[in-house]
Amino acid sequence: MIDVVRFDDVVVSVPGSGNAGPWSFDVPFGTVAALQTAPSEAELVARLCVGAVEPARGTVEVLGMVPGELDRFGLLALRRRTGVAFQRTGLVSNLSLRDNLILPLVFGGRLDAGAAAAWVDRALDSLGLAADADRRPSALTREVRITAAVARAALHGPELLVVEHLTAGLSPGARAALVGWCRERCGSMLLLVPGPDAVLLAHVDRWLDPVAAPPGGGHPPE
Amino acid sequence: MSGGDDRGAPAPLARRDINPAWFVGAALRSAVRLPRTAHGLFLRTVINQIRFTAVQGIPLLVFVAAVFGVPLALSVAPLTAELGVSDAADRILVTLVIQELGPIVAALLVVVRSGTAVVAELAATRVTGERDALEALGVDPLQYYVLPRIVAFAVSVALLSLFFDAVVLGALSIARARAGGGADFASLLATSAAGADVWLTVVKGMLFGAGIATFASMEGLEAGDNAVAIPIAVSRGTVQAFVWVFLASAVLAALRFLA
Repeated sequence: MIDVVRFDDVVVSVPGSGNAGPWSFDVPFGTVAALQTAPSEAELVARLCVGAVEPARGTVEVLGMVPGELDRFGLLALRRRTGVAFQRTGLVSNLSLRDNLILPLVFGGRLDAGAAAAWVDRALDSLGLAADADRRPSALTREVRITAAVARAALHGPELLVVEHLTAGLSPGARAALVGWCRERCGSMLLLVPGPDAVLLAHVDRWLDPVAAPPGGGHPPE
Repeated sequence: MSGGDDRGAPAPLARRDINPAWFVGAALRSAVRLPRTAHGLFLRTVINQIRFTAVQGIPLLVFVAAVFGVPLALSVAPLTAELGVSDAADRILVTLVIQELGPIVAALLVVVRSGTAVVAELAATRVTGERDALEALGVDPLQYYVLPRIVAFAVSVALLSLFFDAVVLGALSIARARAGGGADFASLLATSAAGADVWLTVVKGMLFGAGIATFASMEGLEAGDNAVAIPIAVSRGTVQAFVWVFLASAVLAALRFLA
């Protein structure tokens, strides 16, 4: 099975704090995997997946490529095949919720503005966010912002979706619905979670051992 | 992306130190690769930025132009008439205003009013994690944040330069008309407006504006990921834009002299 992500003994140098890691795991295509990390490490793993951080040791492969070996446009192209939702949502403060979701679609060259708007409106409707479409992030609840950030990362159907600790901020029902919504659209998902979660476990195929994943993948803990 | 000093590598997603030559080259490459699907949103950003920079800057420009124009009209025009050198003085004033003062004053106002805002805005996008989140989704920050501002600042400074010229020369026209030399001054203005002087104003304004936006954006994007980095970036960007305006003006003057 083809791996969409493979971490091989990856260590990141953190200024002032020493090293983070090591991480060794892989996520095969078509699976939803959960990796338990400390909050301060989740962002590092997410950033490693899109080449925003280079490992001090080890190898990161994403969709068969090593992000650190790509030039600026190669990295942008790789990132357009993936989706990342960070804990701090990063929604653009002076754009409406609708425009926040449209922006990556049109600047990624996927859809023109009209088609993207229609696509986004359908997505917002399916997520129950249609009433918030014209509001700016500062006028939204934390739960809506989280859902929107994940939707923005998943909307284009990435081959890999990485979600950093975001679902922990949602109610169990919303968490299950959002993960299910993403699973319909994404090739594979890597959920970075603070700990075992009954709601997520029901949606997870593999529970990753960050240090040494067995060849057949891990299993959700009992 | 977040941050703080305890998270990951210190560099932003760009992963390299930015210098003006790299930045301009990267911006040009990004301009060439701007997806057609983004043209509408790009244009909307340009228009919004022109509204903030040029349209909303007009009151301040009128104030400054009046501060320049009224003393000129009240003091210089009567004096030159008394000395009998009105024609020569008029030509010098018109040339000075159109070729030099207009673009420089408009550019400096844009540096102070909008350049600082752009640096702060772009630096804040790093602190809030907005920019890194977009980059992680494959949005080129040069295409979304920088190029629209370069285009908008170029257009805005050119427009404000013409506006400044119109206000100052309008005040001078009224003064000369009251002194009885209105027809001659109007003829001189018509000659200048039809000639290369106005085009020079436009070209200088566009060059100054593009440079201001480039330095402001560069410092904004290069800022660190904590709040303290914002005022530092604003200060650096403002100084660089100031230096750019005077340096570019001096170089253009030297080129015209040599040509």
